[in-house]
Amino acid sequence: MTTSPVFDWTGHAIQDHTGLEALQARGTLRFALKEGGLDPSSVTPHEMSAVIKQLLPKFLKKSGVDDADGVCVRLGIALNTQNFSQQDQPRAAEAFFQRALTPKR
Amino acid sequence: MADRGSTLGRYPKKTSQIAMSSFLQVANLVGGVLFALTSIIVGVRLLWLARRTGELPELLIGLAFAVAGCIGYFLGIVQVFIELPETLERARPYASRALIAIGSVLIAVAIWKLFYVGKGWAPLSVLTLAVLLIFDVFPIDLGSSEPNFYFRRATQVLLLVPYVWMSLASLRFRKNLLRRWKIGLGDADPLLARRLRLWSYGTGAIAGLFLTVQLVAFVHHYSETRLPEELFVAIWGIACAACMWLAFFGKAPAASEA
Repeated sequence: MTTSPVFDWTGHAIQDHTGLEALQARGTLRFALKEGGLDPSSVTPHEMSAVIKQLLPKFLKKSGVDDADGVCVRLGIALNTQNFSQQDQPRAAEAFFQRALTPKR
Repeated sequence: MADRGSTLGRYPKKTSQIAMSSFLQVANLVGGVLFALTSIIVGVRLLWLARRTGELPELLIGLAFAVAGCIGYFLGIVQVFIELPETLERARPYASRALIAIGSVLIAVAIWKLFYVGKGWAPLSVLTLAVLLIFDVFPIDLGSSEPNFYFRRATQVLLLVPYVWMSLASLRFRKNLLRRWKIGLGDADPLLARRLRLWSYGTGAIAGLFLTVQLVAFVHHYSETRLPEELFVAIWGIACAACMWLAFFGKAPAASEA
């Protein structure tokens, strides 16, 4: 399965900051994204930032990472310094259902 | 209790059969008209939206509802109410099947464009479905009645696949949308969440309608039992119409409901 550049970067960053194996780091990130209703193939930097702040600490703790909150703060800061070409675009489905089901709002 | 051997016993049975038959015809008419009417209203609304936005999903789904849900479905049941000239009657089943098949393919293309852009297997699935549905419009004669029966059932079951797919994909999308809203991604919209759920149920009801027709055909093929197919179809038709109507025109819920 193809993953987005921001997913790959965050996976590597989790490895670097926590010492988790690549598979475990990416797996933990996948769980966090799933809980946030996001897909590793299309997640954007803005969305990843929200996941790192609000969901990742819980999953890192479950993976046995000490100072998961501190790690996530550092990850968030590091993510903001990155320049990804991927831009936040409205998802096709979300845009369609908003147009079709809740017009003129 | 009716005595089968006596004249007295036969009259109530005949009367009740006539009453039941009339009831089923009325149910079929009510369900059919509501379903066709909702389909054309939703279809035209989406086509109008497509004209304004120039976007593909509303065009595809609008066409599917207008073409298959209204015209195709109506052509499929019209012979119950109106006696058509022989030439038209011969062409009617082909036209109905073709329009309903086109509707299914349009829904499948919409699913691909909405939920699976960039996934290679999605257009392949749509293409496979389109090719297989040709055999629903123009069935192959396999020689004897039994293989023909199974072949017809198999091709007809394919018609419901896009509707099941749309229903499940929309429910999954809604679940993910709620999760994203929960972590502050996008503005939570209870009305959209509620209408998305109704949309999923509505498309699921269309699949239910198709599936019921096939299940009834199986029961009728293998037993003497006569099921009130018209009633089942009417129930699904009314359920679909209600869900679609509420999805597109329902009242806004309270903020806490989503």
